[in-house]
Amino acid sequence: MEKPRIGVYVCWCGTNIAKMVDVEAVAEEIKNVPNVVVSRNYKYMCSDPGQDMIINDIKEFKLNRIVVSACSPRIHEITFRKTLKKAELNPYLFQMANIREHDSWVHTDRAEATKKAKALVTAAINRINYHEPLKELSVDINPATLIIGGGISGITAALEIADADKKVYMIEKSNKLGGYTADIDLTYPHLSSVQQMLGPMIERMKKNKNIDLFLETEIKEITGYIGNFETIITPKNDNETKLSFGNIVVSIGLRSWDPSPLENYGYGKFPDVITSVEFEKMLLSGNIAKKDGSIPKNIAIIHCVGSRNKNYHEYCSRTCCTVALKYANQLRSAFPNASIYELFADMRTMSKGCEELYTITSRKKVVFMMFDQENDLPGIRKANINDNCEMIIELNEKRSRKFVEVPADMVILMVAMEGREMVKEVAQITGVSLDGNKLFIEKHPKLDPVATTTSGVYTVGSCQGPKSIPDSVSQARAAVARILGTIARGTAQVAGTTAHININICCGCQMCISVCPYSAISFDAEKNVSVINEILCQGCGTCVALCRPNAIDIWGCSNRQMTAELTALLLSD
Amino acid sequence: MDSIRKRARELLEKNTVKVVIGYGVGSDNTVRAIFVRRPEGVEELIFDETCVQNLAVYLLKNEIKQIGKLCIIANISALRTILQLASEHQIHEEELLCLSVTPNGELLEFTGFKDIENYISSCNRDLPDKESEMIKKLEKMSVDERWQFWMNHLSRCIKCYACRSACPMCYCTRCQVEYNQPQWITVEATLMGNFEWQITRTMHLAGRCVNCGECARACPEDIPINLLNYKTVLTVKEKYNISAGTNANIDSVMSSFESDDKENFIR
Ligand SMILES: Cc1cc2nc3c(=O)[nH]c(=O)nc-3n(C[C@H](O)[C@H](O)[C@H](O)COP(=O)(O)OP(=O)(O)OC[C@H]3O[C@@H](n4cnc5c(N)ncnc54)[C@H](O)[C@@H]3O)c2cc1C
Ligand code: SF4
Ligand code: SF4
Ligand code: SF4
Ligand code: SF4
Ligand code: SF4
Repeated sequence: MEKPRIGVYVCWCGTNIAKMVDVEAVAEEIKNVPNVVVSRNYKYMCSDPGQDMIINDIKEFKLNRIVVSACSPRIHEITFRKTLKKAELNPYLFQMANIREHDSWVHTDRAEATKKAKALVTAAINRINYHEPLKELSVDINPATLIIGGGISGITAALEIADADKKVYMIEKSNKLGGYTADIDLTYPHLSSVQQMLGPMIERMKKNKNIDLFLETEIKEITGYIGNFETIITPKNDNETKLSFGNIVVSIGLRSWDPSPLENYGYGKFPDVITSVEFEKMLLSGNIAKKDGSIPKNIAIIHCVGSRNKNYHEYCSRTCCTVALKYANQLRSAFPNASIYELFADMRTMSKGCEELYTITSRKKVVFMMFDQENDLPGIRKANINDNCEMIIELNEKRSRKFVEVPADMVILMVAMEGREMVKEVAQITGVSLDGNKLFIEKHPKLDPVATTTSGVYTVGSCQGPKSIPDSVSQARAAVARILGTIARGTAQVAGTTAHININICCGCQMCISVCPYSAISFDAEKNVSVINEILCQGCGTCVALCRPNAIDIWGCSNRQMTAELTALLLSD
Repeated sequence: MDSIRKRARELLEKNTVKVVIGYGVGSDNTVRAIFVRRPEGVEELIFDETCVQNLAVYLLKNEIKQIGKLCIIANISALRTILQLASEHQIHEEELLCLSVTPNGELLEFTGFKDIENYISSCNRDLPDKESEMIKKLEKMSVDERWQFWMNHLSRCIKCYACRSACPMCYCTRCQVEYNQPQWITVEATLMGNFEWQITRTMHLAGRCVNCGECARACPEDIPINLLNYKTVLTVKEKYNISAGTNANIDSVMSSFESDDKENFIR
């Protein structure tokens, strides 16, 4: 290996870093670290002049390693790798030291923060001594896309891709398209018809030649990697079909929770306690009535049923508050004289136009009452004959601190949305992880919300977290923009930072295979060792930590590099 | 004893197996492993309650594997080891045949892992009383007392790695202690380095240890290191309801996960 000639660049990030870290002192002191040839500081390293500075130095001083000490690698590692490429240096001869998120932003003592910055930069320099040039693999992209789930999210994605004249395979488990959206009457906040919007979309799906629609079909297994996936499906009444595609959109949505376990509400016991989904169907059919066919005089809507509660689902199901307001409006139009009650825990009407809907609803003689979702849920009992109603809801009203008895002939439970029955299988087949709530995990919650940690696989719509129709549609379109970009490029680069197994050390125990979250490892029975597929491997390091005889290491994040970095940190004062 | 000898002779005469690994009498009347390759050698075989050594450790040795199909005289520890090694893909059904004798003298012959699984499920797999009591005692100690206990013991460790050699699960081509770039565990037998070594060994055996006790028997310094492993045996049983060496297709505790784990750390 040639002798390292390292260039170090300490960024001010405007005042973000410079106000808490003495960047000049850091750059000055770093000059003494072995192998450092150039050390500079600059206002914005990511700007064009900042990057040009690196390019010029690489040429002038024959630098062969670059350390940028700035923000998080999640934001700019790719930027600077490209800078190195421009200067004809292998992009992996680069290391970032994060002195913003890990330092200036979280400290209040300038002297201490400066000390820490020096330690972090020294550690990065120590580490980069062991960096080696890595090769990136390039894979061709099959322009077809597989979409799993034909709700509003999947439909939007399919039409958008098909309109760009690219092939779509749409896999839908049920016998019709539309998902939950197909059962919704009006949508908030403007109470416009959902079916008038969805109907033409479904028609376009059926007519579009670029879309192959497979209803009542499920995916059992997918092989391959970005650009080159394959599956075999058995559509109903049809023969096995092999599909090849380059990208995958997962849009399987959520399902509504069965509230029977929440005994307070007597679902299944009282015939006129129904779920929001059942009520929505009633609205769509145009006939709101009790089980016995009569008209309800007192209607109560209970929020947060099974949501935001440790015992059921800790998260907020996000659309139900506004949907409940929508119901109050629709009920008021249908029954001008009925008593309508909204029993809520917290009113969450965050989307555009929704708070306004709350105000409008509150002027329509709807009674709002609050309860304690965590400790004191309302309870429903059968009314007496002279109560003049079917049921009585008992509740401790939170704001007035009064015990209240609410008469009801119909109770609508705003039930939680949760992962579908097959969600674990779909996660496993597509290589996407689930969180503890059975929601798909995005690649980055803020910066990359539709991609996943498996390249070429996107999750959109409510399966990624409960959401409204417009939010689902936005995610679908975002994923499509990414997919069409990949298709237009024709190839995808696969990062060189992958794991590799030393076949002289591997003892074939195959434990790494079961632990790899990306199914990147397989067993070579002839050689009696495990092997890693470089395209599937995401360099997560799980297998490295597991392997007892240390047969596995990661290019660009080797044990050697990690210990060099850690040693410098531990030795710093 | 006679039944084992008789069957071993048959197997060797018919060339069904190439070698029989069993117990014999060594110098000073100690029990030791013997490798019988000729039919007349079976007369040296013994099997009684003194035969505690876990002979399964020899199954993965290259010298032994090269000989061909083998027969092993297996006590319960060895049978459990065989199942555990099978679940770690280290041995295959067709490579070996096991003979054993029940406490009331009945000869057992296992041809497949299923047979072994069935037999093991009816055997007592609990820790020996002596060790169980020691663990209870250690659990009752304060952290300081426990630290002192292990300091006293581990300060005597000379890093001879006999515990590793005796353990049938320590079959790694290259042990973690043999790395120097980076060096995970110090080479010299210093107190902290000895701790590093034993903690690594314990964690590497968590969920895999079949409580045969071989490691402690091998230790020239009489360090009860098997207690560390036995504690993991109890923990793994309690938390995951898994006992190593009871099934040839067991999921390893350390290498299995559920994608929807309730804990956040996994994400
Ligand atoms: C009662 C109720 C009222 C609502 N009202 C409104 C409203 O007024 N306004 C609004 O904006 N939002 C509303 N929503 C939210 C709205 O329903 C969702 O935003 C929307 O359904 C999300 O669409 P999706 O495509 O992501 O998921 P879904 O609608 O759940 O569609 C998923 C599709 O995937 C299919 N699928 C599932 N698993 C598989 C599999 N393994 N293989 C293949 N296919 C599979 C399903 O059959 C389904 O067709 C309401 C929700 C409910 C429950
Ligand atoms: S865990 Fe290590 S030793 Fe076991 S198969 Fe994987 S690479 Fe080989
Ligand atoms: S680093 Fe190992 S566990 Fe992670 S993706 Fe690569 S092969 Fe799988
Ligand atoms: S750690 Fe000790 S008791 Fe456990 S299997 Fe190995 S030798 Fe036997
Ligand atoms: S201590 Fe660990 S690395 Fe060493 S041989 Fe035993 S299991 Fe393998
Ligand atoms: S056998 Fe005993 S002395 Fe030798 S390494 Fe193991 S614990 Fe230490």
